[in-house]
Amino acid sequence: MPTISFLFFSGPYQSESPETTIELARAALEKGLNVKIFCYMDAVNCVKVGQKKVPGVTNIEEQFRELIAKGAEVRLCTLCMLVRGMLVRGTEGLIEGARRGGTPDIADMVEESDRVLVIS
Amino acid sequence: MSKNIVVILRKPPHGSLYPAEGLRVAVAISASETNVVSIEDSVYAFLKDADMTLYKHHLDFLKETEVPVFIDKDSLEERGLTAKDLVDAVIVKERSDILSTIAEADATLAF
Repeated sequence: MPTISFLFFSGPYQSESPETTIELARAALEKGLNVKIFCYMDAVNCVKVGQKKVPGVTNIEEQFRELIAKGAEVRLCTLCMLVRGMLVRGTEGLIEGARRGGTPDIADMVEESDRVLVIS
Repeated sequence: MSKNIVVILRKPPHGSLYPAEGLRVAVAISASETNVVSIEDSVYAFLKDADMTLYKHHLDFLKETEVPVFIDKDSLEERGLTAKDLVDAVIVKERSDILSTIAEADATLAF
C-alpha cells in the first residue's frame, strides 16, 4: 500500500494549514493509503487535548483524533514540544495515539514514503 | 538505496526559525543523499557576520560530512550580495544548477 507523509509546521486556529493537512490526510486514508504526519514547530499544538469547541470553527483536536483512529501515524517533534513547555509528563495532555519523535523520524518517514508533502 | 533529498531553505534567519530548523533536519537526514539549497531571503543566514548561534554547529556538521549547501546566485544578486559576503561552508550556484538539483530529488523538504 502506498504511503504519503506530511511534514507539517502550523499551529491551530491561525491559518487553515491544519485543516488543509487534515483534509488531505483524510482523503488519502479513504483511498487506502498509509498516512504519516510529522508535526513540527507550532504544529505540535494541534494534538493538545482540551481544545475548546467553537461553533463554525473546525476543532483540530477532534480531527486529529479521527485521523489517528482511522490509522494515521502522528509523530511530534520532541524538541519543539520541549521549548513550548509541553513536555510535562511524557505524552500527558496529548491526544492518545500521537507519539513523540525527533528529526531522525523525518529521515525514516522520507525513506518509507512514496510521497512527502510539506505544508507550512 | 537511500533517496536523494533536498532541503530547501526559503525564509530569513531573523524573524523566523525556519533556516535553523531546516539545517537541523538536514543533519538528521544526512545518512541519505542530501543537498541543501538556499533561495530567497534564506541566503542572509550565511552572511559572514550573521548570528549563527542557533545553527553554526549544524553548518559545521554538514561541511564535515560533505553535505553541500548550495546558495542561489540570483537570490544573492537580487539582494546586492556576492559570494564574498558568505561563509566558506557554502557553495554559490547558478539558478539553473539549483533547479536541476531540486528536479533530480526524490523528495524535497521546504523550510
